[in-house]
Amino acid sequence: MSGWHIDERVAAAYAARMLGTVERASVEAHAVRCDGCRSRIGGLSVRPDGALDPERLWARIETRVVEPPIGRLTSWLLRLGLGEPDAAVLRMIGAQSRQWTIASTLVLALSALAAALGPVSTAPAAFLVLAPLLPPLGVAATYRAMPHGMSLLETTSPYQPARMLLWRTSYVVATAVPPAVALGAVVLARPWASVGWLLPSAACTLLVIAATTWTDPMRPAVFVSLGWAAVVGCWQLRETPWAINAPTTQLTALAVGCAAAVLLQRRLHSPADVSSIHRS
Amino acid sequence: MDPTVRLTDVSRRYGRAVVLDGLSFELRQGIVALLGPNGAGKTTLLKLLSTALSPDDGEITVLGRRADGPLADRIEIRRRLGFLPQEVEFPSSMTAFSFLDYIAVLKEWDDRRARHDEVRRVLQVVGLDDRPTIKVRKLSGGQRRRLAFAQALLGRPELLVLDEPTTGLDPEQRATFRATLSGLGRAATVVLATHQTEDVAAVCDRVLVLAAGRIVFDGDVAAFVGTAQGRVSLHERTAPGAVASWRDPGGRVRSVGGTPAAGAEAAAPTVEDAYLLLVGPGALRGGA
Repeated sequence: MSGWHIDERVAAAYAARMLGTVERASVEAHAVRCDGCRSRIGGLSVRPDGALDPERLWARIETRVVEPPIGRLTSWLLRLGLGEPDAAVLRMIGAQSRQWTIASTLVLALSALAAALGPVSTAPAAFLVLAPLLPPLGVAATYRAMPHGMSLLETTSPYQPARMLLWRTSYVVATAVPPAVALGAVVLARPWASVGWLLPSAACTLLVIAATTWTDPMRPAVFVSLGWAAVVGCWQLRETPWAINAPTTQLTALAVGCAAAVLLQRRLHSPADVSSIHRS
Repeated sequence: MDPTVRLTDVSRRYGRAVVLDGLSFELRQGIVALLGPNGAGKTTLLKLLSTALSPDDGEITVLGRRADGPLADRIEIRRRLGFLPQEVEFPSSMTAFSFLDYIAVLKEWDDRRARHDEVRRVLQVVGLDDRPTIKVRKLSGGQRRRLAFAQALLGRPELLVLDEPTTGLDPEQRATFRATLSGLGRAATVVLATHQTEDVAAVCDRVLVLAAGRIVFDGDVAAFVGTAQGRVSLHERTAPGAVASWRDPGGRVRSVGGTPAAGAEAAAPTVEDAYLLLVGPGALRGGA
């Protein structure tokens, strides 16, 4: 047997079911051969004299059955350094946003299909219209997807609205942006263009979030989408499809994004009614 | 002792419609019933108390902080608040335990073990501790309502705002709920919007009646019932001009208000009688 033993930190993490599958299996494999470690991790079910305590054992079994298991996603988030409560919030956002995730994946898949089958000249335009709008539409969708009443419970909880907004946006960005960037690299075939839409997309997202403090999230999302489609349409008509990479475009997006961020910060901390951000 | 809630000349509008019009009152420890027909402004008032909405005019102080003030004040109120909305739709994939666990996370129960202990405690309080692993979609309507009530109890709040908590509960569950509520009212301020007038008679210390955005009665339950004294009668026929009448189990007609016919017997009034007399025939159509 090796000289390694289960320390208090690992024992506590094991008891709290915070270990991943491999680590948990390692702990249990070691505990089978080591009486000291077995009593340490089984402290809840073994009496000091080593005899089995049925009540404590039952309590542990009940805990295992009743408490929600730490899923693969949560374990991964915990390893990234996220706190367990924030991981729980992200898990909930993910569960509420499955329709959005499916929809965004479908949109990207259809874009790829259109690019593969359609005329070569229209593929960049279609991509440049769709990809930047995925994050703002996604953030709006995650608020709209909340079951009725849950939004009120979130609004009246002490959980910081800005923090909730951050997690919702992070979830949407994490699920939509990497595949869109990858698709852009294929469809646009220009390295800068495949990431040049990120700043305008961030500006559109911030605009939608800021406007959401006044009104239903879908309204600003639709308004911003139409505006962005008009901008890309103008570029096509002027035969300047790569204007997205122009400094003027990027600086304008930066200015709009900064203005929206400042507005959002003020709205979140103002005494005014900002409950519409939660669609209550 | 400072009041838990103080409203000063509070108004709230939706567009041009004035939903609450210049409300002023204070609430202290105990259970307060909020009655009123549909559209009277009860739910809006509860949303104001729970910081989900801000007033257009006036001031609201809850637990010593401004409910219409800076975010830091509102968050401090939310830490000491339990709120049960009129309707709660649950994410269908969740179990009772995982739903409460999520709400406890939102209520800043960051320590997993302490949080799970608290979830077990509230499940026990509402009598759902035998089914924590069942998916919420498989619970009955009454069980879901109890689950929604359980989330409001997380952290033993000092102010409980409950919007029609007994909707969907069977008589036995309502009796259990009343017992729970009585215990809570000894340590916290409870605002209970309800259309179950039996609940008011059983557990409430005070009654507030809202009609068209204004308070039309504010007093204790005995005084409220007293407003109907001598105005409820039993006879073979409905009293002319009665606000409401129905045949009682003994076969006689119980008339609320109106002019009792000759020979009519006076009946002891109830909370429902007082409510009908105060709000009028519209109360029957709109509920309390």
